[in-house]
Amino acid sequence: MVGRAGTKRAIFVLSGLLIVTAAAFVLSILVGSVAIPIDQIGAILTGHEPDRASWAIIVGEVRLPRALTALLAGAALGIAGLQMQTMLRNPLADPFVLGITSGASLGVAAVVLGVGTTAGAIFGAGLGLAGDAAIAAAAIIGALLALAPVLAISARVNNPATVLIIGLMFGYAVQAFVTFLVVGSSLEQLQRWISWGFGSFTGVTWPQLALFAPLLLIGIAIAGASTKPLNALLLGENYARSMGLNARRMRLLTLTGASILAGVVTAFCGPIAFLGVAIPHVARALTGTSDHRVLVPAVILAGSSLAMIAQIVALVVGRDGMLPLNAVTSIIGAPIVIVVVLRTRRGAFVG
Amino acid sequence: MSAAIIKTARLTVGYRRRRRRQPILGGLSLSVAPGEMVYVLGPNGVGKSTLLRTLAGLQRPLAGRILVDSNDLSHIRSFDLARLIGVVLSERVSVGALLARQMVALGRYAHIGWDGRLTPHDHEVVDRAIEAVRAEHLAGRDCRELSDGEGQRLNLARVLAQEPAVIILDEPTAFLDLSSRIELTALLRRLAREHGLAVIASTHDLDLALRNADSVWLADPGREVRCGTPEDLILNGAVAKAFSTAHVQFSSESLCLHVAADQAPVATVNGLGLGARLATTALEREGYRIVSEVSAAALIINIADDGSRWQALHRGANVSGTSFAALAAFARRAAMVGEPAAAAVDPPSLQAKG
Repeated sequence: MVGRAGTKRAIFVLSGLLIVTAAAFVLSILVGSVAIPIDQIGAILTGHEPDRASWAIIVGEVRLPRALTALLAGAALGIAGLQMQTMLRNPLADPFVLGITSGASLGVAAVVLGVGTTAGAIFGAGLGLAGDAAIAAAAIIGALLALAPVLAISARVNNPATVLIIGLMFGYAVQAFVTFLVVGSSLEQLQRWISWGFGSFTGVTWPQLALFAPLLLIGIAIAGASTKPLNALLLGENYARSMGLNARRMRLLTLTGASILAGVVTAFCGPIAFLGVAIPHVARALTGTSDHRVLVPAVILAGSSLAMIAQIVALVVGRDGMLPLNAVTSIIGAPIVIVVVLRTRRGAFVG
Repeated sequence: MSAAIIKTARLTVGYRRRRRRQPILGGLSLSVAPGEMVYVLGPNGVGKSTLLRTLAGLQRPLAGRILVDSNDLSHIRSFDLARLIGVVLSERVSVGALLARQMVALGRYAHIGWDGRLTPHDHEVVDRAIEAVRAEHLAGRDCRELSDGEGQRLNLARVLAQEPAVIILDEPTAFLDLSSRIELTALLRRLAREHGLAVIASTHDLDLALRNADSVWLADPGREVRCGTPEDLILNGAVAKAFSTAHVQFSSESLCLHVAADQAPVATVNGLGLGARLATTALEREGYRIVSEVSAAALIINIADDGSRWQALHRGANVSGTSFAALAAFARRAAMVGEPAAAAVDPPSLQAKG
């Protein structure tokens, strides 16, 4: 039957990606600023006492949650990017274009930069003075506040391109408020703000992961369950509707899912650049198909492994402390997008 | 013919803008029967697309009702509607990197479960749909590598895989080359006849439509839609009324639109077969209006059936030649001067051939 070669390739690529993901996961536990022998790490992971007690803490409280965070965040950003690209039929679409990231930034800016102003004081005091939890909460609230009007408008308009433009414009407007906050803030506050903007998978604790992981898994499950409508949307919204798709419901479901994914990741890890755009292109180039039943797992695996690799590179290259994660994702992401765009022919973008 | 599959009652189509209604076509009472091939004709902007989109359920009517298989369209759920009506739009289809067969299989959307898995029966329907458009050789190709014509044929296969009772096509031939247009038109005709499908298509290919339609819906700029068989609409002048402008006229002989030629010199062509047809083309290009009554013509051309020899009578002059180049040159001089042109001389190369 037709398509058997395609199926073979998909299985081959997905198995390869699975191996790479597993390897990247192992590597991101092995690599760190403190050298720990492999057998000791094995001992820690199997529940035995290592030679030094601090090693157990490093692996258990730093490296393992960091690796899991990168794994989940990469998959989440990739899936959100894929959903946006398919639904808006635009190769450059990603969670940023819906203003989600900008909204999250505004939330964080309000907490980090607004402390000292009346509103910031009340907000900050209530949440333990701009602690990590407060930042995460503010980012989620900001993302939702930015998204709500975009969702409301997109439920009423018929054209995905209009949604794209509205999201972009909304993002710019929100960014302007962030700028207002930046102007009036102290040096210390600015430093904190900038370091959040660098993005990082470090510092997500187990209790935070208990919130982070289920939310992302829900978002990813939404995408996994909607491969059929996503495939129908490859033909464009009008055709998809004529084939029986409830386009508005699908758009709301997908936008909500994507904003949970992007909003949560931004809240805990900062605005991670480029992964959202780049990963779907990588997955399409590797699998050679636009079929979402292959693309969704491919994006999850490619996203996880790319995020973990970026994390490892940031650790290894940035000898003292760490290289900003965003610098790494951009340096890896930009050439990937350029190569993919140049190598694939017309139509490769779409869906 | 059996009972109508689509029927409209006092239907008004148009747009809603800021709660204001902008009707485009109104008072439509149309009906289509299974196996019927309907062409929607009319100048640009007259509302053909709006009408088709409304019939397809992609847009709500401003007033009136649409009955599909005796049920009100607005009460049919989108899943069920997809099993009744399939749509081909004028926009080019670009689905990215899917195999042509996968693209066709998307048409099974309303028949399969949430996970998109195809049963053996679904595969069989997809194969039959691809066979019906004679695209078996394209099934394994990447959609990005298909030509426009091939892509549109597979898009039609996708609609067939949807197993609807009605197919609605909005200018399906708009971006196709001439042979693909003719091929697609013949294919639609065959699908209507052999598969008992009701087919409603809009087009700008006037002659193709008039030759292939069972019925024509003629939307004319006077905001009304006339329905009938093509021949009746030609005979009662409705086609000419809808399309003729100050500069363009409908010719019921060629079923085509021509540049208006009221002041044009009049010619007649005596002959049969290819020769006569080519001579007509050549004279029309030179600005002549071709009539059949010899008495009215200033220029009379007698031509051999195979086009090898011609003789022209113009104001008493009698000239003959053996190539269409010479005929065209003679006709041009005769039209300009209005005087008997000097005897045409064939270029040597053509003369040798003749």
